[in-house]
Amino acid sequence: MNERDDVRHGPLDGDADPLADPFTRAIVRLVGDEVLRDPEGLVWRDERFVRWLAKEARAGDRVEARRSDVERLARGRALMRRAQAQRVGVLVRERAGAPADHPGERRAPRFDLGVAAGAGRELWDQAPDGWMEVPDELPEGDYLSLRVAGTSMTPVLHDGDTILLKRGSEVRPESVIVARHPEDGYVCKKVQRVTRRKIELASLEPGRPLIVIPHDTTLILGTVVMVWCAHR
Amino acid sequence: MAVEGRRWGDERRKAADEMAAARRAVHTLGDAALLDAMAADDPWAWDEFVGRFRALCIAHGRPPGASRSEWSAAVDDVLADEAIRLTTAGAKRPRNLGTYLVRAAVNRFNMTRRTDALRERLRESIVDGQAVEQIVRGVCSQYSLESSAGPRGDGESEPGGIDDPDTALRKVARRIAGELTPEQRAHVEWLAREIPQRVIAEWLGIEYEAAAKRGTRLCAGLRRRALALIDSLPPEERRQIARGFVITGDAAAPKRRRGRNDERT
Repeated sequence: MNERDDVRHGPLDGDADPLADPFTRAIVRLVGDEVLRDPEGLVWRDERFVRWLAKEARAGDRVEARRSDVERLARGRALMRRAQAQRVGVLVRERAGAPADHPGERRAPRFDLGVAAGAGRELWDQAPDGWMEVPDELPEGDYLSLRVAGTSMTPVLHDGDTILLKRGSEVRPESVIVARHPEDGYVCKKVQRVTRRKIELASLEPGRPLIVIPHDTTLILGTVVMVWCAHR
Repeated sequence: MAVEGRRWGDERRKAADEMAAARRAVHTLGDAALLDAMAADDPWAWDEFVGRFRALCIAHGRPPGASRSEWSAAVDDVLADEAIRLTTAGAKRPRNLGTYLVRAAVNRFNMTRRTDALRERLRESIVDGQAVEQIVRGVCSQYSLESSAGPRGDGESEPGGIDDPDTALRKVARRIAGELTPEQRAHVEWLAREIPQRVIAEWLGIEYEAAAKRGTRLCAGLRRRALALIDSLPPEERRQIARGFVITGDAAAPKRRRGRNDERT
């Protein structure tokens, strides 16, 4: 681009603020917008500039500025929880209350695990409390919905949350399963270790002891794939 | 009772101070150190990640035609997913995290749009009403079809109508942007963001006066080029720009409201 002096517009003045002229300022802004519009563009490769943009954007974000420390900590914990859930293969969905019963095509019977737990009781001794719609994003299969009782699996699962299990006896380390303990009834735990003879189950809450059950496929109810949680 | 109340107040103050200190500590971390702190399950680091990058993505990545709510949802999804992925052991970390996240949000948004459009097309091809829709369109005027389409998304107006002076000026700006060298594009961008001259000088690795002079020449060149391009526009577009600006000699001022004694050039 030719940068020589132009007779029509007078000589260049190196001391003047180049953006004092409103028309020039508008042109510079619009050209800048065009340059920035493409996130694949070269200007985005300049780390210093991107850091500047991020700082400027954050300073201009009034909603962010109004957030209290308590809200920030809660947001951080919520995101961390989602990460911990994903590491054990559980999708987290946040809802204001329990999922509504829906007579759709893919349904899963819903039981209150807190009610069903206890030595010697079979889950199928009682009728389901209702039906849950199985989300489209989940693969085909048999599903079962339970309500969690207890806090041993916080922060991923809280007392009162509704979980969705994929029925089956497959057991993978680092997944969360619901299994029948010979003495304690139904338990919902993370698979720590699998051997030919036994399965070690751990809680996510620190300080809880390991639970060991025989490696017997009839004891495995299924793997937790999703949780609906009203907690924040 | 008064002593207990004071102790309770002290404890609350101490807790608040500790929270503020923890938040400040992560605020000063570099991007790589921040990801390490997140991998170590520091909840303040997770919040800092969102605070640091959400505003950047919201402000600078929105594709044309995307409504604010759609874009905001895409950004939130991507930030959560990338935060999780980047803190997984062995995950490859980008060098320029801000740029990476903006691009990821744009790609996610475009992919969601493509998927939704495909789903809608499949649905429409199945529904029998398609034949009815074609008959209705055939007997309605274009005006009645457009006016019955309803408002867009969250109430945003259609971009660049015929009377929007920015449209013609934006075309000029787009053309100019395409003519610049990469160095000039970067410099224009810095000027447009009102980055201080001393910072620009630092980034360019030259003296303050040299950077200021370079900026002045660049702006003067942009102005000359813009005026030349405006001169070559069709009359209707020149009029559009004239509605937004009064350009006289060396000066150009935004258009004021016309009063009784105003003179137009």
